[in-house]
Amino acid sequence: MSHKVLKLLALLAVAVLVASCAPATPTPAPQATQPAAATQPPAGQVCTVGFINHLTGDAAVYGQSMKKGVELALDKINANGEKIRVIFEDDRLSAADAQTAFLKLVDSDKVPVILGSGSSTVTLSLCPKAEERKVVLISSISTAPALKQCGDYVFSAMATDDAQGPEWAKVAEYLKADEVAVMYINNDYGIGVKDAFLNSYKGKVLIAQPFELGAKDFRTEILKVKATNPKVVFIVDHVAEGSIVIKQAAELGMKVQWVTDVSMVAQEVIDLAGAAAEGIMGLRAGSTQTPQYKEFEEAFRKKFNEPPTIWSDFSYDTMMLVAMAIDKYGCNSEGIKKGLMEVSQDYVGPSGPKAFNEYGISPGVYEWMIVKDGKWVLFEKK
Amino acid sequence: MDIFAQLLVNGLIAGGTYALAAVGYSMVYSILKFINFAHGSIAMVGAYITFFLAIQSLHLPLPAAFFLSMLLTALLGISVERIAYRPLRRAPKLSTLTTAIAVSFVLDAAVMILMGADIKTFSLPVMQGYSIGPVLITPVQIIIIGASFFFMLLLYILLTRTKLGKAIRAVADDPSLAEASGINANVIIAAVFGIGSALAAAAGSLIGLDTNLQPTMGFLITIKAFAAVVLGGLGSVYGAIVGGFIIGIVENLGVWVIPPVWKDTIAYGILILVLFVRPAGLFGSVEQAGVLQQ
Repeated sequence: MSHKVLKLLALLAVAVLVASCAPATPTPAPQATQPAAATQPPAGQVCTVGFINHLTGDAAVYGQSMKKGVELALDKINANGEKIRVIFEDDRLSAADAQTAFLKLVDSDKVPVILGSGSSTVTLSLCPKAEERKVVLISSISTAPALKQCGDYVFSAMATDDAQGPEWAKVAEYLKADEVAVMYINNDYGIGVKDAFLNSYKGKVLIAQPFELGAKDFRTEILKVKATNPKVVFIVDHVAEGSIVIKQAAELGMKVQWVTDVSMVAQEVIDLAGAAAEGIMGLRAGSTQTPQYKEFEEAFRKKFNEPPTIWSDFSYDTMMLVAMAIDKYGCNSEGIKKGLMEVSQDYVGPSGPKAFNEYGISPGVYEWMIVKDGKWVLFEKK
Repeated sequence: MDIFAQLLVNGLIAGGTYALAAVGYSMVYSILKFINFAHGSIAMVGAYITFFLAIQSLHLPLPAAFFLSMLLTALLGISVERIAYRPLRRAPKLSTLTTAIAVSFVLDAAVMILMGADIKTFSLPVMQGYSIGPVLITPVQIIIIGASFFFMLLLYILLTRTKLGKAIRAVADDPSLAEASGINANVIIAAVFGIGSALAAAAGSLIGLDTNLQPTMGFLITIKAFAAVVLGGLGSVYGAIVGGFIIGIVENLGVWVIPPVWKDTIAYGILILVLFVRPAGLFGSVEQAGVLQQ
């Protein structure tokens, strides 16, 4: 091939490479009236729904876990013939990739409802699109308070962070801690919980130390916290970073009572942080003591050969609620939107009561957990 | 003062791993005048091989897995050079750079498919560090710093005291003249890739011991190593070492005063600053730096 052609090809290759790396620019909002919300064949035929979550990347542990919850629910829903089919899409914890997945599901697959995402940041990025295209978006676990302003097509099966903050304050009170340190992951979720806690906690906050998603070395941040000499440290984080923080803090000789948020009450944290995780406390959304949970736990173990992974109970309930709404009003967005509000009011699943309030958010119920002998167990309050 | 000492030691830990990764990077650059963007991915593969050998399957004792991984990764590096880079040796630099990026994508994806995207850990017992004066340092961290210095020393001995080392330096200096003296450039280049990849594997494994493994860890290693090499001076292997330690220390000290969100920016910032003020880097030569302008 001639030199010139080779050069042109090389340039083209680089251009394609650069274009694929660049963040996806949002498509301009279409003008005038929107086509009617995606509808599908009437009841009696299979309804296709979408699922967008972080199946790979830093937060894959959550996305994969939630996928399992949905799969378990599908077993029950489709037990007498296939009623619902789920198309699973990966957002790689990136808002840009989530947008692409959203458009693909809505335009190509014509789904009336999408389950997703996990991360509040990603879900918030999908909100405007869901409202604009009139597609129901229901997240199993996104908790940023900003979700309340998203609109009536958006739901979340987990209470917003303004509920977690006050719960932490209750823990602080129980531990009789008049001064604490806070470490938080620097994203919408971490900042949300931190702010909610700071608003409810009446004692002294020695330091509120942020750290970054995706970083691997937190020793300096830990030293800054250690320098304030706390006895209790509240940490809101994801499994990947949180487990490193706890491990490195132990190595740096920091002896404190850790209290984590809901996203760290996962077996992975104990596996990754090792002995350093022993004795840490955390909040668990929902309750493991109810009959619904125990039934769910048994079914989960049977199917996956392991105890329920983090938030699989929430995604299970989300899928069940969507199925119930479709059953009642058919496979269309308007029906599902109406249906979700109605069916949730009396619904109590393995992740607790799900009655959506006027913002489409479920109520907050928390358990206190502690790591004992390498496992998260219920904390016995005296 | 105590805190400062601890920060310094933490900087040495991080810096040691960066330096080790940067050295391999720099060696490849000296020989081929080519920036191997796949270097971090190779380090990541090395880390995963160690993990696989020690934890997932053969359950070899850690040191054995570590060295075996270095060997296997060296072979991987040599194969990559043979398959992806050698055919392009006379092509414009852009082609090889693009190929290197492609190789890194392929390696990252391959590991993700084979080993899963979740985080893997060596599950070392967590222990509070020994107190050396005001500083706390764990045995693993001591090993990390020690191993970094050990391999750098080995490299020095290799480059200055052995025939292979002499040949490498000759080819780095002037490939055609070296060939004229009877040195087989292809063999030397393969050797350099092998050594560089082995060091990358060592760096990757040490990083994995300290902060767990993820298929995406390669990218950050590449960036930090690149910054270290540019800082130390393109073409100077020892400069790369110094560069690595400087970045590690500055990062750890820096986060004390600036918000951690800017931490990676420190490495990038140093890179930009050096390119502006002294493109040759601390120890590099100006002719070598000319490549960056191409």
